Amino acid sequence: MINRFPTPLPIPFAGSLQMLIAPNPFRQQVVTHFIADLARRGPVQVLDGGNRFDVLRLNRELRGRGRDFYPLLKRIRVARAFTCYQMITLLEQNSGSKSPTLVLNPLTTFEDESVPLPERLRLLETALYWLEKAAKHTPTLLVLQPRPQEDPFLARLGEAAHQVWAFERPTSPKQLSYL
Amino acid sequence: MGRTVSSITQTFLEEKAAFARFRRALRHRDQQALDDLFASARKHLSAASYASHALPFETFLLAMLLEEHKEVMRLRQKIADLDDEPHA
Amino acid sequence: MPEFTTWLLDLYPDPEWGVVLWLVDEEEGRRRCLYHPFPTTFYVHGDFHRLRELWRYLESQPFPLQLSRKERRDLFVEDPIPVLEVKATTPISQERVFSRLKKAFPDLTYYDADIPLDLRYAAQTGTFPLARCRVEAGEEGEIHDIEALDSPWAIDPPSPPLRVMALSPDCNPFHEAPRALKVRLDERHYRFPFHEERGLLIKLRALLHKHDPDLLLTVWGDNWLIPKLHELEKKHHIRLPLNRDKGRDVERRPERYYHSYGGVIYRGPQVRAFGRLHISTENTVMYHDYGLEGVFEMARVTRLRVQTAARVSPGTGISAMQMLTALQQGILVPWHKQQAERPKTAYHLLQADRGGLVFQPTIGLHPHVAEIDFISMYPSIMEHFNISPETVGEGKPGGTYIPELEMTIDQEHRGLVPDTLQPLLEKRVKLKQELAHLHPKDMRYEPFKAQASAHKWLLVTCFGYLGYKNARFGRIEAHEAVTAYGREALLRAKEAAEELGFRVLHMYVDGLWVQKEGVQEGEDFQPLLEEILDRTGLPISLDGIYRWVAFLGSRQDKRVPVANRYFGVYQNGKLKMRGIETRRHDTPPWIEEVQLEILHRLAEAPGLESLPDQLPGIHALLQEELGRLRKGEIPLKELLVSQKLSRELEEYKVPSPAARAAGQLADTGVDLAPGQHVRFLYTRGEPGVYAWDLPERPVPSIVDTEYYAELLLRAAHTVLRPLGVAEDTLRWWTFSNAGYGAPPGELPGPATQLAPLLENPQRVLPHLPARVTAFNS
Repeated sequence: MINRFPTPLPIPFAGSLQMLIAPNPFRQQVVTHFIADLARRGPVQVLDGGNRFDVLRLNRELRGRGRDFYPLLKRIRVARAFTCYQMITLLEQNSGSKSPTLVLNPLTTFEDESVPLPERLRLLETALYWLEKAAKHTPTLLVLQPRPQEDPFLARLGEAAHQVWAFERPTSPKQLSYL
Repeated sequence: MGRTVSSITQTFLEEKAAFARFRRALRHRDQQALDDLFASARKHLSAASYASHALPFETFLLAMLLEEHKEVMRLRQKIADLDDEPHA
Repeated sequence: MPEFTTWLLDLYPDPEWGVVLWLVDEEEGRRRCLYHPFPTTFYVHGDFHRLRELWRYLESQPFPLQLSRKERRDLFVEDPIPVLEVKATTPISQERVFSRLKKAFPDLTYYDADIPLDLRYAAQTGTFPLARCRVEAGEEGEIHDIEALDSPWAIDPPSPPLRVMALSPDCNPFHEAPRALKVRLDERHYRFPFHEERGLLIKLRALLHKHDPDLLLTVWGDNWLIPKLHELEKKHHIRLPLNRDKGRDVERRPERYYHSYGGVIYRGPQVRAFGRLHISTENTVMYHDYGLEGVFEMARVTRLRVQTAARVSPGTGISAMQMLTALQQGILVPWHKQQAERPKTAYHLLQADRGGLVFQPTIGLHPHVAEIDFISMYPSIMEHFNISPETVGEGKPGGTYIPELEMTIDQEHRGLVPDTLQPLLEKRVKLKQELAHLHPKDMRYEPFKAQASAHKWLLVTCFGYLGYKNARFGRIEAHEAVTAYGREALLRAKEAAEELGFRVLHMYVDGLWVQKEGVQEGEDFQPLLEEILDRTGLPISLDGIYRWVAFLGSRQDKRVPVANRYFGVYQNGKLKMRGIETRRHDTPPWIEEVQLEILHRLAEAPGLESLPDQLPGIHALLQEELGRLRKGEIPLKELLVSQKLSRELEEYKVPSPAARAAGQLADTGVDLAPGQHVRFLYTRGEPGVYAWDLPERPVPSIVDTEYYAELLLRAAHTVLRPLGVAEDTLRWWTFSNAGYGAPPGELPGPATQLAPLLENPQRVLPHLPARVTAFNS
């Protein structure tokens, strides 16, 4: 279990689409840290595709960092998408945003088997179009859980991203049987 | 759709679990007292849910205090009743 | 030109004729098959250049199509939007064009593209399934005009004189091989053995020809009987006229299962007929609840074909009603829902993402408690406060602002969802009023009850549907606004009650339980009802007054109150219980019955004070039932547990008893899908279960009697604990073959001798209500 965020990741910068792939609980920690850091500098947009945004955890993080708690909380704007169509609408609506944007688990909404695969792949292209448009003028970070290498959706996002931060679960050192 | 925020019961259990180490290092009697406090917070989960405080643990602490205060009032009343009784 | 009055039985698309209609005439029992030319339209919206490309593409298609530029209203856009209107000559050619377009032009937005024909037809003609109609038709059987003579909202509409043929195998085909087919026509019964295959087909064919039924009412028809008959037909080259439409075969749809609301839903295979209705009762949603009358009502108000209405969830019904409202109002129905959530601050997410309000109950036994419920609370809120996906949002001038959600609700334009719900709510209220005055023996009583029940399911579902991700007219903000209003209404009700001197014992989403010293009669609660109505604007009713009610604590920690887990007795002696074993679907029938019997015995006590007098009798009952269990006298069927499989077998990390039972079935080649139920017995030793549907019947000696005894004890304790009976004491009392307070083998004497049995006798043998209150605190 990683308790502290080990090496500070650079805050995503405008003009680049970045992607972070990490397992939980590390991913949750990174996301929380990132959002809290960004919120101290200004407004932040969070687009949640996985219905996983842990607002209470974020609150604790913000509270731990100082007194201006409620104003910070109001700087963070969240919108959720539950289908890939909604995800595209969100990305389109957000493409003109000036605030740094985190897109959490964008691919979860693309797992919907009621939409045919070619249609989903086409929609992913539309999603990327809006993401790249947004990334031109505001820092944009995609946050994903690890997926199989051969996943076509992940591969496509990987191609489009300017930088990918991939973390793996550390192989645990041989432990004392006692603990 | 919705239900992104974890339920109040879930939150309560997480907060309680976060004190597992604290509890473990207490004496048995103190552990029981701590359990009582958490049980009394649990009686007010519905109100805590309605409050949806940004930091739910603060609501849980207040709920523990509330139950403690009710107990104080009850005991106070009991003492007053005892004082009123004519001494044999 | 012939004109006549008739009933609309069914309709479906036809590649040549447009729509085929089957009609049931009033006189002479005549059945007609007519057709109605039905050009069908859909719309496309998008980039101007792409629409031009589309136009050219459509002109090159081998279908005759009419194309024109139009302006239409998208529910979520202020002004009408420019669209390309595509009109095909028949519904079937519309479907074909659309299925090509969605592949060739996937980036365009489509409207009205996938609407079921029954809804289009209803919107265009004002008719509905089973409606009484006036029809004008030509010599060739083509309809020139059709008009409904009644309304789906009419109370007690005349019903069509349907001829019904009931068909069923003589036993559950999934448990043993049926020996005969049972047929019922009015009062006549027939029985055709399955082993005389040819004879069965010939006789059934003769009956079908002779009686020409409108409705085939089967049991296990969808998943066994019709497929079985089909197999026999092929084998013996005899064709049964299951359809009236001779040009078609019955329509067979395969089984499927899907995820919904976190659970797995299983949909069995389906068989639909053309020209007759086929209803397979075990595959009819809520059939056990509202029967045929409810199915018909569902079809009338949703306008879905009867055979569809019987087989779809209430969510699909609500969706159909909303689409119909849109069609009637000239609002475009999107193919895909695209509305996404409006960004909200992390702070508001916390406020908004919540369910209904709950007020944990005061654990214990309470005398003279009234239960007050908001009537159809969530739908009433939507209707009353104009909550609809398009009415919630920001920047609605003149709207109502909800600070908690940072959201405004438009009050100037009536919403699509409230418009859809209004007639349904009104009809439900009217039916309720009628029911309150009708004698249960009145002919209208049962149909009205069934109809009200169908409405209830639609109304209950419409709230969830508002928040459902794939709902075309759903929107999360609207869903959140409804719960916010619900919480506010309940809190206002609580404040009103407390100000009028009532004690609020429990609140649960749309109901509250109140008590006040000296208040016991219905009219005493009237001022409270009026006050709540005044403060909330929502209809409220007194559900009933309990002689006493017990709110229960959690099984894990009895100090912790649990919402919606209680039982009580109304003043008229009727029981009500929630969240206890008898209400659970997986409780073995024997346990359910014994617990219910204990409750009935408690209900016999005239009041709270005399409850403990029932204990000796209950003790004897438990002893007797345990004796029967141990002697193997409980029929195995009564011990069956039925549980739903939540996932595929290989996905279970630690197989639950249900998974182990399903595994046994899988070994014999019977595969159950997630969402299906598996029935099993708890047995001694490994693997601890025996699947009921295994080919071999279990021997009674394998039953794990001690485990069932434990289950019985727990169920008994659930309902005896509020009287102060401790679990350990009950265990000792039940399992030692002795009555406490009496020598072994004898029943205990009067209640007072039971005192040591109770945790704290003072609390339980009260003769003064004050002591009862002490127990409650």
